Amino acid sequence: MSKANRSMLWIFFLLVACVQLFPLVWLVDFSLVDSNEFFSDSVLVWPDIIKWQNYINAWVDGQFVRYLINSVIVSGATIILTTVISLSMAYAFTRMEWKWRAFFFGVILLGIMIPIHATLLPNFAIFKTLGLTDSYWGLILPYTAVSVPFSTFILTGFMRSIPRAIEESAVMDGASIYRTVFQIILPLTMPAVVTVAVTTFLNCWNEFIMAYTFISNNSLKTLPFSVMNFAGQYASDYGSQFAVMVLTSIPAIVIYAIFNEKITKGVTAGAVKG
Amino acid sequence: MHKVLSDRMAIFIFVFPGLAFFILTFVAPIILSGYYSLTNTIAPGTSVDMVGLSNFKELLLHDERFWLSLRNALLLGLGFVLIQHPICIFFAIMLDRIGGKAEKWFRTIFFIPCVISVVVISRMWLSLLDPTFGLLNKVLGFLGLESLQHVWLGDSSTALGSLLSILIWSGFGWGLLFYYAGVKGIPEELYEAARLDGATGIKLHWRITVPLLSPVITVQVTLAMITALKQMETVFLTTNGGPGDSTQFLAVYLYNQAFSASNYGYANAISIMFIIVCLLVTFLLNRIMKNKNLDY
Amino acid sequence: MKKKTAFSLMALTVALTTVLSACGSNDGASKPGNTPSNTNTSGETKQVTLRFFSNLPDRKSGQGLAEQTVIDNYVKENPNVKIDVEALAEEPFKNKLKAYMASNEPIDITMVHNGAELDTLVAAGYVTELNPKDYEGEKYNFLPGVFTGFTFNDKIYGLPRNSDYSVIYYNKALFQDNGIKVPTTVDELMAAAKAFQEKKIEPISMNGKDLWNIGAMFQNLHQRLSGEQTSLKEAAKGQRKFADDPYVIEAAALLQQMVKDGIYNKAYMTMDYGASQNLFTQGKAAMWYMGSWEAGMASNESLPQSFRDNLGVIRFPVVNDGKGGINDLIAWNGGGYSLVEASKNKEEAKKFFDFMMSADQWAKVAWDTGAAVPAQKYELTGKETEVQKELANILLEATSTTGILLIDASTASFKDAAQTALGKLAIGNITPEEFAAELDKAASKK
Repeated sequence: MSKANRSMLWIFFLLVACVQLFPLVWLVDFSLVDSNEFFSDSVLVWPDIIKWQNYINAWVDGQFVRYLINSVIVSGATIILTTVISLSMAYAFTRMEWKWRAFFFGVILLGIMIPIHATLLPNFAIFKTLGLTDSYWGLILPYTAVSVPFSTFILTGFMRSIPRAIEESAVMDGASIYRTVFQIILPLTMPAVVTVAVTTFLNCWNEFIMAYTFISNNSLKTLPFSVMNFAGQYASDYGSQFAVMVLTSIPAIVIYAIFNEKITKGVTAGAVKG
Repeated sequence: MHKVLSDRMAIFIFVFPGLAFFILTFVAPIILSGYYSLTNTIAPGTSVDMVGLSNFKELLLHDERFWLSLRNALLLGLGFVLIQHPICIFFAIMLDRIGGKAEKWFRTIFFIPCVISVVVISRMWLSLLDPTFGLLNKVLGFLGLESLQHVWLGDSSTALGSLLSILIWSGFGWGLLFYYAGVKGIPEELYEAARLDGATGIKLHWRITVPLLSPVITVQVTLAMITALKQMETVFLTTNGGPGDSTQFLAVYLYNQAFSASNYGYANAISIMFIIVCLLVTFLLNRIMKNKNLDY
Repeated sequence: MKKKTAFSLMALTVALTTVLSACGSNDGASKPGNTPSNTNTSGETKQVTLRFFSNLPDRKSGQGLAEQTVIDNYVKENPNVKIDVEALAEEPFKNKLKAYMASNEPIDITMVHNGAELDTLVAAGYVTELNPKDYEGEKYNFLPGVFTGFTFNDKIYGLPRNSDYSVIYYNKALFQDNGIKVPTTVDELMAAAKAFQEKKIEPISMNGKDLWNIGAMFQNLHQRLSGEQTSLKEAAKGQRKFADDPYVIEAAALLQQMVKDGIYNKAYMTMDYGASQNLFTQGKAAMWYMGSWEAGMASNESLPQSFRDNLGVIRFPVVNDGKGGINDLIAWNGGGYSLVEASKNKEEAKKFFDFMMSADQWAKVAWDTGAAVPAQKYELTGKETEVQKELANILLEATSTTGILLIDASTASFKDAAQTALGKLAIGNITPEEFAAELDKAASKK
């Protein structure tokens, strides 16, 4: 690439980067000003006085710490369950030999296509019958179920790309199939597993419809609930609404920043094979 | 080796938990949906009268909103495929070319909107597209292009297009990630060989990159159509299907029928049709793409 | 190195999960609904936890504060009763109430919306029938006719909490500074709108995304033209045709014209309640067409002082040559409370319910704090804001009231169809005649 072309590309990319970063800047900006500035003539507002009260509202009335802990528990458990289930299924679908393999793989992939809104009310009834609403499981189970199809999809793609030689020698050495999967395949698929973990995390961190439908007990509620409820509780106070959104976004951005490199690797290996 | 890999017990243990989840959260509700779709119940828990297939008849033969929702989803899907995906592929190739630290940084930044909650994204766009206070109209005014100023999301002629732009922008990161991964997987030697044949620039990528990306494209196009069909949150939080159904989507329509309009039986008929449409689209796309792939 | 971070993070999560899920399950054991009726051996000191479901998440001001105050009053008098409030914002509230209804969840008292939405709850047998005789007389002091939206097949299933009526809130400063006359006729309203547009000020802020409020304004125009308030309700029930009523066509045409001439803020179609309120309270719109339940704006300290000082309220203007007068009021009783049939503590729940609905509880607290205009008789305290006094006058001087909004006058299915038709009418996608036809079609569907 020529020097001139290269600089052009740089400028262009910088512009796009600004556009992509804009929501963050916008969000933080309006979380710091008085809500009276929201419908103003400028797109961003320079705060005369920084309104920390917005963050106090978000922290205290949003019960940030409690909901954060719940969110971490629910996301963490969902990630672990999703990974274990998807990994073992992906293994069974790519490596193991059985008759209904293609059929069941197809069935699981259907899960990517089915909208949760179509199944929300019957789901609530079923979960309630099983006594799962109003517990962490009431969120962990549906989140896992929703995440598994796509995760299995990513993991099968990745697994097809790793050579069989390593696991074959392990099996020859007499390792059980379970040990092979979790001690040999798991480390090998680590990039894809991280991808799966992070996508699962992003999906359930911001999910709100199931979060408010399946949970009534205040001590079990998660962060998106706070985001939703602030829209009602502080209907006219945009500043506080934005503050709670900033606080909720921070963990997601941090997690993404940490694992960003791994995600790309995980997708790279699997993507070509589809 | 064969013996270990066809161990029925192991297969069962590997597949059963996932399948159980699947049955619990997808199959069982769908069966319930199927049952309710044959009734005229107004809400679960009320009296249930079997009405046979009349919900489906009404839906397919007399319901404009259903077809309108479907049309919107297809338009949105086409928009993704024809606009968003080429942009993503272009960026993926350029990212790969720029190299070094910049590659990593830009990649990270481009993905940021995907990390942020759809609630925030929708709010922001409502504000940017506000006809009076929004950035877009202000920029147009500043450039002396007042005639192009518009009530973007509030006018039925531009609402769907505006929505498409929002979704293209917010889904850009995911598309880029997958295409970028695909581009990274193409060995450098292939480019070298093509360059020796005299291919450069766009021609080079058209001949090498795009065909080699075709497996990724196949998957991504299918996913894009599914995303378009399933579109819900952003619509719900910006236009709620309006103005006048111009941005109506199946998931939003279904949701409103079930929750607001208390037509639960009918909503379930929509949801069954919805699933059938999703399956049909996936099936057709796979068929078409498979045939196309044979050409290479 | 990076691998290590990933692993230790995961390990941490696992540890957290185990520890905290243990806490969680303890919480679960003491969850409401599981506790009651264990210690009833002594009879009197029976511990009861009531589950109260509300659409008012803000417990610190306005109606939420009033509701919470009444609850606190009751708990103080009845230490054996604990009341667990679950409060969600409007949309989540409605959806979750559906989910509760679907699974017959044993909550004890719930907030309900009159008309179409309560109709669904009644059909599901989820709410308890009340005896109207219990709520006659001094103790409750309900105003006449307030049960309309809570009555189905001559039985009542809930009690209203407020008198709701459509008025126009306006910003006095914006009118004065721009030399614009406060409108008393629709023509003046249109002239004012035009004048504001020229000054780059939005005339009426409208929450068009919610659609119901456009319905209220349509009804207001229909009333101003026809001079009566019953035909729309009858037509919604299928007892007459919308298309046969010339005033329906005329009102629809007028509404369409007003929207076309820019009476609303430009972004009205994507504005929800909060956004439209903000537009008005920040002085960007001159007027806000909204219900009397916003009385509390005048005393809400989170709003700018300059705005509160300039807040005024007027009746909806009349139409020249129309039969309706300025004192005919689009008034109904939207929100209320119901007892839940699935409740496990029916007796205790009713005791609390009766307490809450007493004139000296909800009605008094709501009025005294300026949160709302009650559906019961209340006494003036002398500390009311100007806006509150004016609102009280508007109701007092009303020559006729509606009882129920058109969109709520039939089933939920009708409501949805009517709102869709209103949306299409407003943006000019259908003609007034087509609008009437769509309403008739919706009303005929049973």
